Amino acid sequence: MMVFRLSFFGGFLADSMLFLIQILAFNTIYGHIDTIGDWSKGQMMIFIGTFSMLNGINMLVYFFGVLGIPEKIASGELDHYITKPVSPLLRLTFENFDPGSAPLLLLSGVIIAYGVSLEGITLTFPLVLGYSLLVLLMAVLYYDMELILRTIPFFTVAANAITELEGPLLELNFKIPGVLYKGAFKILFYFILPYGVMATVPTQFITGTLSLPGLLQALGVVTVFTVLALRFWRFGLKHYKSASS
Amino acid sequence: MRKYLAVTSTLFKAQLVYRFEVAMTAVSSVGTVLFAWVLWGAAFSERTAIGGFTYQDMLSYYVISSFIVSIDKSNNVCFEVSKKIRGGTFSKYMTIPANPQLYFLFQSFGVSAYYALFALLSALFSVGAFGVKLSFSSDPASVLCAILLVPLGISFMVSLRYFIGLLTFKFQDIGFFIHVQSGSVTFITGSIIPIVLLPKTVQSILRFLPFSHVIYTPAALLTGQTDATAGFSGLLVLLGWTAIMAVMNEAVYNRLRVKFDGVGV
Repeated sequence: MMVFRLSFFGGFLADSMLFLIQILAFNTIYGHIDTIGDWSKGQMMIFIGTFSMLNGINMLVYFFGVLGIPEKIASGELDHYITKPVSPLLRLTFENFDPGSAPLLLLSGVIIAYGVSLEGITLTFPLVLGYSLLVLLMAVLYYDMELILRTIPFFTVAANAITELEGPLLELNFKIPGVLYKGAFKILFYFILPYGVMATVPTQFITGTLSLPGLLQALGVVTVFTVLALRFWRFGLKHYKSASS
Repeated sequence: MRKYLAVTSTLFKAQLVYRFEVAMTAVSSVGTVLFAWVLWGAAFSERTAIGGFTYQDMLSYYVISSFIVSIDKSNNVCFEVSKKIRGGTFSKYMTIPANPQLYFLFQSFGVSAYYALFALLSALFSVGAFGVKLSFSSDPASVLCAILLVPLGISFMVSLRYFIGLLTFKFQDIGFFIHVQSGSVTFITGSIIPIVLLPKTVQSILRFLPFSHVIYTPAALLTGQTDATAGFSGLLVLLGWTAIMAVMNEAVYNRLRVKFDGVGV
C-alpha cells in the first residue's frame, strides 16, 4: 500500500473534495441571501458536516464490505461465508475496514464545529450525546439502505441498475436538507428512500428545531428499515443459489 | 481528417452498448434540475431575484447547463488513457497512423453526439416536469457564440483530461490528480452554481481561465444572462487555452512516451 499512498487516501480525497465544494457553493449562495427555506448558513454547514460524518463512518466501517455483496452472490463466493461458523452478514459488513477514510471524520468534525460556531450554539453534554446517538442511528439507516439494495441480486443476479441509482439519490440528498422537500418528494425521501432524513434530523436536533413528533418519526423510520433490511437479507439468503448447488 | 471522423462515427455507434450509462446520465441530469427546483425554490420563496436571476431564469440555467454537462464525457479520457498506459495497451495509439490526442478528441465527439440525443430528451422532460418557462436569448450572435463554445469547451476538457491521463507515464497512480481536478473543475465551470454569484474578484480571474467558458458562458448566453461580447471573449480565451494544452500535450507525450513498456513495444 505504501507504493499507492495517494490511492490509500483515495476515498478521503474524493469525498472531502465533494464536501468542500459543497461548502464553497453554499457559502456563495448565502453571500446573496440569509436563509434557504428557514435554514441559516450555520444550519446548512452542520447539515453538510453531518452528511460528511455519516459518509465517513460508512466508508470507514462497512461500505467496502457491503459493496462486494452482489459480486459474491453472482460468483458463488458467498459459499465461503455461509459455511463459516460466524454470521455471514456480520463478516461481510466488517471485513473491509478502510482506515484511509478516517481523516474524513476529522474533516467532518471541523465542518460541524464551523456550523456550530456560526449558529452560536452552546454545546452541553446532553446535546452532544443526543446528536452523536442520532448520527449513529442514521449511520445504521445508511447501512440498511445499502444492504437492501445489495440484497436484490439474490433474486435478479445482476442489479447494477438499482445499485447505481443509489449514487445520484445520495448526491441529491447530500445537497438538499430534507426540510426543503414538499409533497410527494417529502414522502419519497422521508419514508420510501429515507435519504432525506439522514443528516437532517441530527442537524435539527443540535440546532434545537427538532420536534418530538419529528424525532419519533425518525426513530420509527430507522426501526422499520433495520427490521426490513435484516429480514430481506435472511429472505435473500434462503433464495441463494450457491456455486456448488 | 476522414480517419478521425471515422473514429467519431465508430464511437457514436459503440455507445449503443452502454444503454445503462446513458440512462444514468439522463437521471443525473434530471436530478440536477430537481436539485435546482427544490433548493432555489426555497431560496426564491422570499425574494424575486438573486444575483440578477429570477427563479425561472435560474431553472433555465440549470436545464441548459445540465444538458452541456451531460454531453461532456471527457472525464472518461483520463481513466481510459491511464488504464491503457498501465495495462500496456497504449501501444495501439503509438502504432496506428493517427495522433493519439486527436484520436481521443474525435472519440469524445462521437460519444458526446450520442449522449446529446438523450440529454435533449432529459432537458425536455425537466422542462415539463418542473414547469420551467425556458428563458432563451433572442440575440443570434449570443446563440452562435454558445453553439461554438460547447464543442470548443469539450475540446479543451478532452485536452486537459488527456494531459492528466498522460501523467500515468510518470506516476504509478494518478487518482489524486483525477479527484482534485474533477471536484474543482465541477465548481469553477459553473455546473453547481452560476459563476455570476461568485465574488467579483473571483469572476475576474475566472474570465481569463478556460473553465467557466465550458459550462457557464454558453448556458448564460443561451438564457440571455450575458451578451455576445462575453461570448466572443470566452471563445478567444478557450481557443488560446486549447491551443496551449494541445502544444503542451504533444511535448509531454513525446518526452514521456520513451518511458513506456507496452505490449509489443
